[in-house]
Amino acid sequence: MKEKNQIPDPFNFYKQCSTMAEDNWAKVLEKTIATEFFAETMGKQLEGYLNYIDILKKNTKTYFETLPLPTEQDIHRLAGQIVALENKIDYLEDGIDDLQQKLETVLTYLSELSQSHEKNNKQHRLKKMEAKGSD
Amino acid sequence: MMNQNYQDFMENFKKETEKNFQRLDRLSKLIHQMPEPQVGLTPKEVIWTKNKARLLHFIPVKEKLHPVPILMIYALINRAYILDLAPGNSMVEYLLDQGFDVYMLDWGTAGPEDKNNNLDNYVLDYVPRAIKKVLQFSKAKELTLTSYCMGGTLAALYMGVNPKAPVRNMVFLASPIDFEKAGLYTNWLNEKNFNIDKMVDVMGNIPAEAIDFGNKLLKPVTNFYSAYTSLWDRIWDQEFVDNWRVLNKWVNDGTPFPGEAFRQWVKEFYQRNKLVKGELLLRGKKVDLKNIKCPVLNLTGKTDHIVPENQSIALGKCIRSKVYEHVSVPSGHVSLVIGKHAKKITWPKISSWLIAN
Repeated sequence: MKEKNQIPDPFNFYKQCSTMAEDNWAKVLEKTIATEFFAETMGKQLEGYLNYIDILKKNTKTYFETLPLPTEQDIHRLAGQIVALENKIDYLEDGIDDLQQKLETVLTYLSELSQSHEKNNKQHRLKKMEAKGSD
Repeated sequence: MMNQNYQDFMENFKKETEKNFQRLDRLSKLIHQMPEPQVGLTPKEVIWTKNKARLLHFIPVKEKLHPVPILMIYALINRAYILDLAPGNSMVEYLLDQGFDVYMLDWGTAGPEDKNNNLDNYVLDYVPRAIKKVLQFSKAKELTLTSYCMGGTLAALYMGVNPKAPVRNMVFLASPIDFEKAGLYTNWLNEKNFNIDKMVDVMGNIPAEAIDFGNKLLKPVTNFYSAYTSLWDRIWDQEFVDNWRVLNKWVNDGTPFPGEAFRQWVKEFYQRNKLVKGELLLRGKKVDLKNIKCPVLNLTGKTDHIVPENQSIALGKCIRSKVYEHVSVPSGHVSLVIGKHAKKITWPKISSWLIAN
């Protein structure tokens, strides 16, 4: 009887409703977004938006060209050229790295060669001296 | 009796109203007054740059215990700092602590001048140079490629055209390989509904907001509603609020997708699934996943809705690695690399697997 007369707490009531409804909303929405109709509608909306942006961009470009002021594309082209220049430097750096590596290999080989040559010379001299000594 | 109930109700109403105003006040402070959360705090140095990309070397905290360095390759969208989100919640920090030498290829933010960059550029010009730089810097002969999300696809592409790449191991984290099983994206991005050519021709680079909207739309209630109601509910839980803020910062801190790369990504992967069919060409070179012969660890999130597990599991059938292990983590796309499941399963698994291999 007491419960019957109790006035419900609106915050708690809203929270309970919201929690209970959340899963159901999720299920319904997930079902909706998985349909072919949704994908088709989204595609059409995107197409409409792109048409609008396209017209806006073309008009802005024409406006700037008429003034005459550099357009967005001009600035992008300039930035693109700077990036391309950086790329060339990067390739050069890469080439220098490769050359340095090859040079290091050659230097290591030469130093090994000279060491072995020196060793051979020493052995040769030692043999000569031994030969003289035995004579 | 009725009078008593009425008084209780009014008392309760007053209390709740006060509590909600306090909540609102705190929420407003969180949004407007508190400084942006700090992310990517692990000390690092930049050892190479190319255009917007940076190759980062994380300063070791221990003596190097493992000779093979790790190079992390990130996706072309969102920021790479998700792998080094915050102290105590960072995969990079964990690996450094385990004695690994860690590097990361961060693609940076593509500008409008980069709209002509395609995947060929990133895979054939950037990745090999980054690998070379890591090997030069670390004086190692081989490295481990660890890649997250789309970064894994890029790593697979690189290996697919470089059979003799100096790669000792590969670790994939939620990486899409088979695009026929791409969940809702398969439907949304098909040729009939989605005019990719018009989108790239008109927009150039694809704005970060568009990519973010697409990802959020996969789970609309969770992303547009529950994320905020859970913050409202747990606004007094400081740890929850801190984690929510850093993650929210990352989610909303996207980068534009370079136009031509996006065209290729949608056309050749989502619409035609050329990678697993063996039909993909990069600058005329065929990408053959059978060129991947090194040990591979493939980690996926069981409830990942951005890259459903099936999309990644297909990797095992396409490669020729004798050592291949797939681990399904009870997590989503992001919680695979940060949070409690990552700390308990993902990070220790990567570390122990790398040591074993």
